[in-house]
Amino acid sequence: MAEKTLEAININKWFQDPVSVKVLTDISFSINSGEFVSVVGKSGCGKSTLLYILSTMDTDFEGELLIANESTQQKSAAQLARIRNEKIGFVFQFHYLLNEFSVLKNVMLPALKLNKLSDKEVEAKALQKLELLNMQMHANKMPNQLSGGEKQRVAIARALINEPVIIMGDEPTGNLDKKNSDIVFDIFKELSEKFNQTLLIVTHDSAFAAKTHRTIEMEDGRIIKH
Amino acid sequence: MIYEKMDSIAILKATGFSGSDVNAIFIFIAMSIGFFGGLTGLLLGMVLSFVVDNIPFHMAALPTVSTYPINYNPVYYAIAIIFSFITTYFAGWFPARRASKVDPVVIIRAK
Repeated sequence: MAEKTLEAININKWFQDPVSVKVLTDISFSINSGEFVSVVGKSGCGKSTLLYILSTMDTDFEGELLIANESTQQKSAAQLARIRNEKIGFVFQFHYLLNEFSVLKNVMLPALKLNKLSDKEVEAKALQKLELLNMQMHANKMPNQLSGGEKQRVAIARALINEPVIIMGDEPTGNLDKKNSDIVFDIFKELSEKFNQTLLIVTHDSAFAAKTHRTIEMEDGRIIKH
Repeated sequence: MIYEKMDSIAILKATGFSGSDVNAIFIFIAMSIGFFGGLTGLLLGMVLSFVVDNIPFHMAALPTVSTYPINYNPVYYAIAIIFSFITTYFAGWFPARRASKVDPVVIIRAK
């Protein structure tokens, strides 16, 4: 019944500059649809590097990566951009909203790029996502009028807009206080339980990780427990 | 300008915009600067030449002219606007190309 959303097979990665350093060794694991997975490890253990590979942004590695049973090997940069747009929702440590656009436009942007729905439909959907995160009253504000926690919620709405098969988070609570971290965690939990959303969250917050379904532990570029 | 916009470029790429999309955005920005700059220049030039056209200009050597001779031929205006498009296109081309090659991982990791 469980379908594999993401599968990594024997991923190895080296940093070449200035000397050749191996940062990831034989990373193999898979994430099933609907799982809420966290990746933990000390700073520098390669967990962020792994996430960039899994998100298709970093293509300089050995091994194989499948997203929704589709290999990402031998794909052009434009095809990978399309996969990111359609299948992956990203939440970063720093909210990374575009300050030139309103909150609503920021959420709409990935869907406008995907170009599957009309502008009107995209707008309605963006409002619906903002509502889900209880941010609909801020739709017409500019990002710099929001607090850090609010920006992060908008970023989550943006990650959800194209109904991705997986949401990836790179320390999404790393820059937030306890209260806002809890809000963000509760949102992820709700997405996972109510909407069966698959989530992969890199974090160094062990309390956060402990509350997820499954924790992948990394050390020195290897998975030591999963 | 692209250095200030690195974060925006990284987020666009992370959310699925390709290098050529980013390139197109920056070319578009450059061209709109060319358009509005060119238009402002044309209007300003037109107003100035109109002012000059109305200043009395008498010379003993040229008894037939009473004002400085002005040519309002639209061809010159067309040349000017085309020139402003061409210059901004090339001015925008290199930064846009660099923007399209930005590696989002490098930007995000640097935070």
